[in-house]
Amino acid sequence: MDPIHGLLYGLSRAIEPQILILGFLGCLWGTMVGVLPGIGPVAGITILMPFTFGMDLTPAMVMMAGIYYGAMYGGSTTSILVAVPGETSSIVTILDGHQMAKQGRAGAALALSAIGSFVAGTFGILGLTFLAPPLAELAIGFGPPEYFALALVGLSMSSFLSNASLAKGLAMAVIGLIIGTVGLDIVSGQPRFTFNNMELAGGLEIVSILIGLYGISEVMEMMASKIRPQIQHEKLWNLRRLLPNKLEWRLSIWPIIRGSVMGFFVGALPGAGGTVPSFISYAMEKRMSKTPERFGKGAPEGVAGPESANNSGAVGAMVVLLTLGLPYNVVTAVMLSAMIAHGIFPSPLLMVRSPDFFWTVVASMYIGNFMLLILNLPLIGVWASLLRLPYRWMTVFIVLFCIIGVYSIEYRSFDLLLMALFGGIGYVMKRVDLPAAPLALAIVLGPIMEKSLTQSLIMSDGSPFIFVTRPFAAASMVLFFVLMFLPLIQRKLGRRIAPVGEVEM
Amino acid sequence: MDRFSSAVLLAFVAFYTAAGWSLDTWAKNAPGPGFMPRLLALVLAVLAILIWVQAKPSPESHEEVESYSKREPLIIFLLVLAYVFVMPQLGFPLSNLLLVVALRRMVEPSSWRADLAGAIGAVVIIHLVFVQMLALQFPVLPVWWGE
Repeated sequence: MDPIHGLLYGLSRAIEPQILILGFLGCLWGTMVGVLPGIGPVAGITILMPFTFGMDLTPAMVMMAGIYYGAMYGGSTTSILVAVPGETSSIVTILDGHQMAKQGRAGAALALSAIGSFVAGTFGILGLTFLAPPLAELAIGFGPPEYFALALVGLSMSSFLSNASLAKGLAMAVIGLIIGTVGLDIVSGQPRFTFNNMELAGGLEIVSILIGLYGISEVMEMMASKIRPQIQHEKLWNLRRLLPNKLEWRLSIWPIIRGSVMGFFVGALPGAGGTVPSFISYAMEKRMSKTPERFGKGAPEGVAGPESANNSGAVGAMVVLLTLGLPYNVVTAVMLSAMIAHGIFPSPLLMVRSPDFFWTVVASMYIGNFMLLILNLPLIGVWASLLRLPYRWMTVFIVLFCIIGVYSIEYRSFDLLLMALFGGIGYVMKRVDLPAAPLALAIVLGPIMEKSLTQSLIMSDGSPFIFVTRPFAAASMVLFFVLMFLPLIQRKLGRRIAPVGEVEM
Repeated sequence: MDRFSSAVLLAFVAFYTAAGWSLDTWAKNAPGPGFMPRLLALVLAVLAILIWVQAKPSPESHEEVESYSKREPLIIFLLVLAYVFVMPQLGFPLSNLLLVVALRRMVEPSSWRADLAGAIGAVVIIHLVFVQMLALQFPVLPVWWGE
């Protein structure tokens, strides 16, 4: 099926009432979790994921994709109005977005953010529509060595980009891989680390661990922090003056275009997702500006560029998931585990074997993008008022949702115990500055990596040289070693590359 | 703090290695069930040592200590843990009620009446949506109810 026919077919399915309603609910929930500080898209998807197990995969995926890009839209609202990022890709929006709000231009900042997100989202989905088929065709030739090498690069990149040191990021990734070794060995069927416990024989339930790490630990973090975001009434009044003025438009058009294009391609890289493109866009706009001194003081480009980049970056990450079946950030890792739970293993053949699924998800993203524009522009006041919700009630409902979500997977108390333990572990990790993202990504990638490593070594009669004799695998291994030794090279050269969150502002 | 993390990681490596000691590393021409665990244990040990070596003394900032509380996260953790053991005995609605009341009383409480009324409301909503509408199979009654 060529892209145009595929898209038309997908549109015919995407307008079915069930898919339309679930897509809308996904966008609604996504915007809400994006707006609320503390709960990001990962927690938003993981909490709701178990409820999707009773649905067909297509509407379930449409809903999860809606949550993902809905959170990208919603995250900017809190950044602009209260200087607290709704999720990580909106951190950089605080710098100029909140300054604009302080100057009475909150409405303009929110409008630029929503319109930029819409343009970038549309660009990203167009990219997905037309680039996914050739990319999948290229990837059909990939075997286990290529998959192992690509997964290795994804994990190391995720560790490299985490705010902690590379050693800490990698250590967390290895812990995630270790978690994946619990259960029956994929080749021999021999039990590993099960301690004669039947509950452990099937492996540790990934969703319970993720909900613990991102749901329960977030609640603990929210309650540990005594600082509560305060929203000013006058800022909400200013939302009535929603449209940007001529100068703001003129300054924002090119940053939106640049952010959309760059974000899509960077977002498709391992570990990048929506966060890295937003930081790159900010740095790029500041460097390209004739008046860089305005940045940090309410420059509209500092809102329009990063907000566009994080949305197209989110779609870029989906390209890799849907064509290679590899999750390169935590959100897509969660989506992959949902797809596996539904019995679909994404691969380059996904478009051939399940065209209905693929094209309906893509088409629903176009519709979802329109829904989000409508949800985020006229209803912005409603979203902003969410910030006035009492924290103690939010805590109660998130905890209950986590419990219900985990228990409804297999109705086992053991999964609840796992969630509680990983909630505690996730919180302690935050306190001792150990990143959760590489761990979460590794938990999902672990079984894929072990399977492809074993298959590769069987193919080569045990020789590890198989990873350097095949061009794509070799190139990926070179990239992996460069990443590993980059800190050493930087030290030798006396320079260092700033991780995400430390890009020159 | 980094040295503490490193020590915990090394202890974990020791436990993991001991637990997987009997697994074969290699079987015929293919990696055995112990291959990946041993490889991972080795890499983690190296990384833990690296974290130890790179650790810098980090002066604890007063500001952070003041803006973070240890009590609330610990309470939430213990309550969720207790819920895991209580729910199969008491059933879903009653355990939820106890959890919500406890959460509300221990984390930013208001009056008893308001907390109890709020908790009952939350439990009824949750029960209607998830048990009645979505037909999730939760244990509704306590285990001793039918005896």
